[in-house]
Amino acid sequence: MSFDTLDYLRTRADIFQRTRAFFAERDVLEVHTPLLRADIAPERYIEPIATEAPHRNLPVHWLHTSPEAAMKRLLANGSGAIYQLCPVFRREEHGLWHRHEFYMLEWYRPEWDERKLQREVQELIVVLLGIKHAREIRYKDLWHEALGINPHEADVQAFKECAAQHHISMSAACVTRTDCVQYLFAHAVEPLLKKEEVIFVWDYPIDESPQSAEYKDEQGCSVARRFELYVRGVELANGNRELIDPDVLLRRLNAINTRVPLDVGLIDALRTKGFPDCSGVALGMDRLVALAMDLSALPNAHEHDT
Amino acid sequence: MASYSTNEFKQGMKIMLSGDPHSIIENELVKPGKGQAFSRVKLRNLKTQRVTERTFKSSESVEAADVQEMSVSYLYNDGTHWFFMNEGDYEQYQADVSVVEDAKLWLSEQDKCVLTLWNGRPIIVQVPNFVDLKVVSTDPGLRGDTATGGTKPATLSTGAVIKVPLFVEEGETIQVDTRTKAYQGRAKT
Repeated sequence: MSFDTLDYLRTRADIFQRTRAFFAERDVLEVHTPLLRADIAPERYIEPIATEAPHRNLPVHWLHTSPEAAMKRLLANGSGAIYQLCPVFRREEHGLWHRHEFYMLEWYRPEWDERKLQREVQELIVVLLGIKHAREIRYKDLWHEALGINPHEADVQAFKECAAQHHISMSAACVTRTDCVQYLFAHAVEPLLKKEEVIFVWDYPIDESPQSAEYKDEQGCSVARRFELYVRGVELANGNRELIDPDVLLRRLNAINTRVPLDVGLIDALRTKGFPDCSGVALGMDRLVALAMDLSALPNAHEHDT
Repeated sequence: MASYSTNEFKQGMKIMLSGDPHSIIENELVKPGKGQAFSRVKLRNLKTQRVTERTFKSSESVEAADVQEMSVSYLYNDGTHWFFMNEGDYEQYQADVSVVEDAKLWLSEQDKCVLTLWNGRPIIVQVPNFVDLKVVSTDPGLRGDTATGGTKPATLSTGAVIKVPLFVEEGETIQVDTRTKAYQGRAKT
């Protein structure tokens, strides 16, 4: 597929402009939070990039991997509904749909539940991509369709047998339940989403979603109040009902191994009286632009050739 | 044997998988936002030529395959082995008849080939794209015979049988494209 840079820049500018207009119409305030931080709210599989100390008397700093923690401080201070368009940085991520630096759209809706937020995400997709119909499927039903197994209940042995039955050479490096779930999801479950134009996947495992509120589904499985948006098989957005209990969040974040100081300010923000029950969503803008242009990868995929 | 981490995977890299040497054709990062990274890799088994897909955990370790390519000249064969020589160091290599199953139909002495060696032993023989071979057997073409669309089968000195135009005679040397197995013209002397 040939690629015209000027065409790309124009399409991108147009998409960003329409995004801003979308939120202006809905009275959602645009905010800007610092990219460079002394501490981070860790994520299990996302590594921040370090910078030297920006100023004498300051320690080493880190580029943010998402504006979430900073935006939650604003919510604690009564900002109301807010959105941000900003670059985020993640170490060692490069591939067809990954870059170590990419543009994120992230927004928060106080007093909205996750379903109401999903409808707003869908409205945005109509405006930016023109796609009017979205399907919906539960994470466990997607697994059932792909492999006939329940990911919330199966143990390592069951996963290994399932893989063997489906002639999948599951890597011997998969030893824990989490390894098996993530391996099979990447290898056999997620690819099923390629045949859908727009689909929302609901009810993710709670252990993958530490900043998410949870509930018990009709079979008594604890799942996250979390949805993901896929467009033509590309993971585009991740949204959830936010976990607002500071002690539970602290416990979950402490369980994550990281070399970066923990952002205790985030925990304090949740302790603030009046921190709203809210839902939030993060969407990859570079991917959205590439999908709008019908590209088969982010532009310049062949740098640092693999 | 050396090993590679999946983080180092590159196109063309040679690794061992299930006891066979493989070449990496494609390497894709698969990483959901909240999940760990995997490498989805397309590989060619260098012994069977079959293409497979495997998914590896990030920072998983795989054994490197001792595979190298080498330019050589074809010397001769004794029916069980085909002999090649590296003209740089005069080192000789022998390939089993199973390795040369297709290649042997196109090889003449002194032809330049590319050998793929695994642990020092040839597993693939790449013949030149164009070779000159003598026609040892073919029917004389009958003028006006267009029933076969203007071609007839011809057996070449190596045992290969290809379609040639009706005017080609026994004893002639012709040029063949080994990739398409098609007659290219009379050999230029």
